[in-house]
Formats: sequence, C-alpha cells, structure tokens
Amino acid sequence: MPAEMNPRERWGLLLIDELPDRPPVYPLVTSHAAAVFGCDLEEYCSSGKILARAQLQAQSVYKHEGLSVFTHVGILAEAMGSQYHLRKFEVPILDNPIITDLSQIGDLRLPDVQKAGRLPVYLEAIDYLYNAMGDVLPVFAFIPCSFTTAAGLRGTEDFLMDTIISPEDAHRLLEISLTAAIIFCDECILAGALPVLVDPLASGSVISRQTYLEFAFPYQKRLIDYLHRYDLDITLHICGKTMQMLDLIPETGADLFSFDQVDVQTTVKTMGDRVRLVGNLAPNILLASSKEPVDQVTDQIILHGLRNSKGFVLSTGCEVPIRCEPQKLEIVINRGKRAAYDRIW
Amino acid sequence: MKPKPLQIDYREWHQLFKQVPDQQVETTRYYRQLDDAPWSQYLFPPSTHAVYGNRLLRKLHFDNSPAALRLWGFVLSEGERIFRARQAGMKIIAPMGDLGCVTPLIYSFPNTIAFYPDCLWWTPFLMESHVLFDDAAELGLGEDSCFVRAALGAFFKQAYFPKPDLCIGTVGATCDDMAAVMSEVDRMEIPIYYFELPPRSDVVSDQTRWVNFLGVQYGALTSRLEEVTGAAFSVERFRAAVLKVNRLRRLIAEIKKYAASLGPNPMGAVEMMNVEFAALSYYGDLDECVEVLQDFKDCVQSRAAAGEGYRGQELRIVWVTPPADPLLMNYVEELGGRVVGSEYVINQTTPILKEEGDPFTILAEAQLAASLAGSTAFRVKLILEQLKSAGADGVIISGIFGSSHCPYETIPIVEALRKQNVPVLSFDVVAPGKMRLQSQIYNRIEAFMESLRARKRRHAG
Repeated sequence: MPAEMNPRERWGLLLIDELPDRPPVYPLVTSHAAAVFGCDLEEYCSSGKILARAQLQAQSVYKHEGLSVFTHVGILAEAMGSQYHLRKFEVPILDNPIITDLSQIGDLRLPDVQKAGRLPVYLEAIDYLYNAMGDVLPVFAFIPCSFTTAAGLRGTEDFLMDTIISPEDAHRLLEISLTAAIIFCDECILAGALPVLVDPLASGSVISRQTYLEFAFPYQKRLIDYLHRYDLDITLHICGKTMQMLDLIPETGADLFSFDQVDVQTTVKTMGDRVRLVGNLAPNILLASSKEPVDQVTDQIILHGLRNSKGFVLSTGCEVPIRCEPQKLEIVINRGKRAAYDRIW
Repeated sequence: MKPKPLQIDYREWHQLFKQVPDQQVETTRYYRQLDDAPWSQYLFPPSTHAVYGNRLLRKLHFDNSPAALRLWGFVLSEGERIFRARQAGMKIIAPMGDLGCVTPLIYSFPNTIAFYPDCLWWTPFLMESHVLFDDAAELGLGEDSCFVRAALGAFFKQAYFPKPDLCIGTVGATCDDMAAVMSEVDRMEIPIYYFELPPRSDVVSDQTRWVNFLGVQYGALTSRLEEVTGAAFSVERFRAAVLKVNRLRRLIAEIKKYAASLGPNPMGAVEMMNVEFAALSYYGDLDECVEVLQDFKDCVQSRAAAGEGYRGQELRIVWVTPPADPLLMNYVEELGGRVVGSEYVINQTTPILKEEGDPFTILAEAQLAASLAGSTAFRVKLILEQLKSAGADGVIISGIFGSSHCPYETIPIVEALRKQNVPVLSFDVVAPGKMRLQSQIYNRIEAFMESLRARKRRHAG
C-alpha cells in the first residue's frame, strides 16, 4: 500500500495532468472558518493573524485540502477608496462607492498593497499560513477580477448602467481594476499564495452573455495571461449561473473553473477536455434548514466529476455558509475522500 | 537584458522577470523534439516554484542573469519533466546509488531518459518539510540514515516521480544508506536491476581487473535496458550520447574554472552546485541540459572577461560534500566567501569519456574515478589539487547527518588538510526545522569566516 498523499501532493499531480490517488476535496471554507474559530467577521476580516488561525483551526477540524484567504469581493475596491461596512455576523457590504460621478475616474489611484484597506490583512494571513502549513497545504488567495472590482468602485447598479450608457468609462474603470488586481496578485504570490480569481458579478445571474463577452471576459483573460507568464495554474470562480457563457470560459485560459449553478454533466461535456473542474455542491444544502440529502447530492457530483478528463476537485459552488451545519460539511468531505482514481503506479 | 552581476532574492527576481522578453519565455522549452507540447516551457522565476511549496526559495539568493534564471527553471522543473516524459511515451530509468556513470548508456537508447532518485534528498530542504522523512521513517528508515532516505519516502508516496520502468540499484562499494533505500524499494514491486560496483584502487593491475569486471556488468545491464526499452543497443547512438555527455562535462569543467578565476566572483555557489549535479542524469533531458549549461558558461565567461562579478566576496573556499541545505552556501557568500572549488562525491561523472573503443570499457574506466569507492586519500588529493589551483583560503566540509561515510571520512580529511596548514571547518548539516542545531552551525561559519579574514590580513602583512 502506498502512503497517503497529502493535499499539496494531490494538487501537484492534478495540475500536471496526472491522476492523484483521489480528487482533492476543497470546499470553499472562508468566513465559516470564523465560526469554527469562535471569532466574529469583523475580527476575521481585520486581522491577518486571526484569519490565518481561523483557517488553520477549520482545516484541523474538517481536514479539507486547501487554505482560503478571502474577506470580501470588494477587497480591491475598498483599498482604492470605496467604503465597505463590516458586520459581525454577515459578510461585508458596500456602503459608499468611491466613484459617484464618472468624472472622478481620472482621480482613482492604484492601492499601496502594503498599506491600503484590507490588503495587508490578506498578506499577513498568507504569510502566516504558508509558513505554518505551506509544505502540505496549498494556500489560495481569492482575488476579484476587474468586473467585480469596477462594480465595487462604482456601485453595482451604476456600473451596470455604465456598461450601457457610458461603455468607455466602464472600460476605464475595468482597466485600472485590472492593474490593481495584477499588482495585488504579485504580492499574494510573493507571500506564498496561488491566486484564485473570483468574478461573482460577471455571473449569468447578473449579466448577459454579451455584457460578459464585452466587459468581463477580456479582463479575465488578460489577468490570466499575466499569471500564465509566471506559469501559475489559475482557478476562475464565477458564482451563480454560468450556463450561458460556459463555452467562453476555456477561452479565458483558466486552468480550473470553479462553477456554481450549472449541471456537472453539462460542464464536463462543454469544457472537460480543456479545463479542470472545481465544484459544485450548492452551499444552501449545508444549512440546517435544507432538506436535501447531502450525501446523495455529493455522490452525484463525484460520479460525474470523476469523468472529467482534465481532472476534478470536489468543492462547493460558492462559499460554505457562515452558519453551515458542520456535520453536513463533514459528510461532503468524507464522501469526497472515499472517491478514488485507479492508481497509476 | 544584461544586468550587472548581483545576487538577488525571489522577490527581486519576480519583478525582474517582467523584463525578460515574452519570446524568450515562450521559446525556452525542454523536450524540444516534441513540437506541440504545451507544457514544456520552463523559464520562470523562483517565486513560481515557491508558490507550489518550495519554501526555501523565499530565503535563497540567486544570480540575476537570464542564464541563471534558465538554469534554476530547468532544475526546478525536473519533477514535472519526468512525469511529462512518461506522458509523452518515454521510458524512465532510475539509477540509484553512485551510478551517475551509467546515464550515457541510458540516454543512448531511443526515447529513454534517466532521473536520479537520490537527489530527492534536497526536497525536504527545498520545501522545509518533514513529509518525506516521516514517510521513510514509517518504513523503518529514520534519522539513523542519511537524507537520501527522502527518496524512499518519495517512492512510498508515488507523487514525486512516475513509476520508473527500471531502477538500477548499486551494491558493493556504494552508499549503504541508499542501499537500504533500495532494499525497501525492492519490496514495492518496482523492477530493480542490481549493479555491483567494485572499489577503486590505485594499483594498476587492480584497475584492469575492475575495468573487466565492470565491463561484464555493463554488458548485462545493456541487455536489460534492451528488454525494457524494446530497442537494440547501438554503438552509433552510444557514441552520439558520449559526444553530448562530453560536451556537457567539458562545460561543467569550464564553468568550474571560472568559479575559481581571480577576478570578482562571476557566479553563485548554489548555481555552481546545480551545474555540477547536472552531470548525474542531466535533469532528465540531455540535449536541453547541454544548452542550459552552454548559456550559463557564456554568461560567466563574458563576466570573467569583463572583470565583472559580485563584490565583497574575497574569501576563497573549497566546499567538500554537497550541502543538503543550500542556504548555508548563501550564508558563506553573505559573509564574504565564494566557492572556488568543490568535491561533491560525484567524481565519477567528471572524466571526459573516450570517444572511440569498447563502450563498456569506456564507462568502466570513468566509473573508477568515483569519489567514495576507495580510500579517503583520493578525496584529499582532489581537494588539495583544487586548493592549490584556485588559491583557496580554506575548506568547508558539510557532512551529512546520519550518513555512514561522513564519520569515517571527515576526520581523516580534516587531519590531512590541517597537516598542510589549511584552515578547515567541518559540521553536519541538520534536517530542516532543527533551529538550535542550525543556529550553532551558523555561528561556527561566522567564526570560521572571521578567522579566515584575519589570517588573510596577517598573511598580507
């Protein structure tokens, strides 16, 4: 019997087109880690050390296979001046976008990644996690793509209107958001994390295929191209519905696609020969109120996910809810760990 | 891009990498015979490899030349390369123990590459991790054996290299820690062909006898390689491989010569060590390895010609036994030292092979230059030769904690050198994470470098 692989080894094989012993099991345990650790989200989002310790605590409880550094999708917009409202028991929300008038776009400045907003929280957390467990666990830093950051700079509704009424200004916002993402990705990499690109507002639940193609896709692709120049394997996560742009995702160059409300079989069929898939248990199933049989749903995802020729990671479609029922998450993780590929050796 | 020679950290390389032209990144590839391989680029900075868990890279210093970047990229991509070789249908042969001399034979078979599992001993240091040591310990090889036990952990894990089509294990005059690894690997149903190494002897009649003995073994190994690869041995292909290997060995010798040059230090000690270890299995791609070393040689040659190099490294050191922890070399450099010579127990990979004659005799003769297969006096001779030719100020011996040869060899080497009035520092490199022991080593290095500097000052009057 060979020794059991650790998560770092498992991910390592997956990313070079080798089958590990089984797929990595990586539910998106983010703010739920605060609940496990016993801190509130204000503390979690404000201290890199607390965030890191909460992540380590959650990982020691659930034994999932990756550490996630994430506070909120507005991390870059906040660092560039938008005001977010931290809440103790809910994720931060946008209070005041920095751009209230399009004439202000020219005044926007790139963030000082070592000082601005909550960026130092990320960097401190990554460094802590990497030093603590980086040899056996990959550290993932969730970085918002341009579309989501631009929406955070402008306010979502106004930005969506800009894409129609003032597309040039929308592109100016997207450009500076892209540059901010690049410089922050660099720092996260240097701190020891692999960027996971998140673009929740570029979801089919929010925008049309055409808007995606014109305003989100090009910037996702440019960010991925930048990171590919460093030979990094990039996960693109888009929440909600992505069926309408599923065929476009591989064109972004993403190495892994973390998907949410799309059928696994369809996703495998559409892009499985080109992209590794990460997904996609609906997070609400993990709530105490859900009556869905978590074991059966997980098994179905594994059944179809294992058929993905480029590889598969068992995950949740979006963040594990803060008030997730721990036993349900354990069921998901344990069933994932029972899945197996045929060993090559 | 031709920056002034400096040693920079991974953060600086990450930024400097932006200046490397896209086309250079795009076209720097291994396995060039595979035109359409999307995965074969390797010109990437250390930060890329750090993200994937090679944590030591965040502490090391690297040469800032594109040639050094290429060298590092090539070395650090070896693990993936071996997997890709199998995906591309190549045969994978793993010589173990003191067998760097069989690789010319392996590469003479078509579509066949070699890798050297012993070199996994660097992985725990590179990752600052106990994982492979813990796995080896689970199979019975604990701290009482040397760091090559990491190779056993890697075989056990099945995640660091693909299953070799054949391992070539050594018995006889060879590393017994690696022999212990092999016995465990044998139980894992991995095919091993055992190859017996005779001791090296300085008596000429013995030499002939051992060459004949080895020749017979090379013949038998060749038959086994024919079986595994499905290809007949070809003298023409062997000669072609020897020509390439000789080019590589000459490059290593030339680079080493520049390390010992009188001007400013044109290269880092860790880069030089990477160059020297290329001779074992060519990091899995002989053709590309030659090009990488050529590039590096051109770089240091042009620096030497221009009188360029790192400033402030005036204490000249011969380094004996490769340090499993390369950070130690950086530390010596920070303290004003430079490595101008080395004896890394792989002397069997240095002789220029005869390009005519019986193939097995050619390999056998080279094998008998092995560092560890005979008396310690031979290693002392190699060290003294380099001390003299490089005008070195002192010797650092970095022993291997738990190895069987170091306790027997180190004291005689130290004594022999001290008799020649050569300052020597010897210590055992300790496993990652042993902070207190490591700090003691650092203190001793500092004291040694201070004493060398004082001595040099005294000698200068």
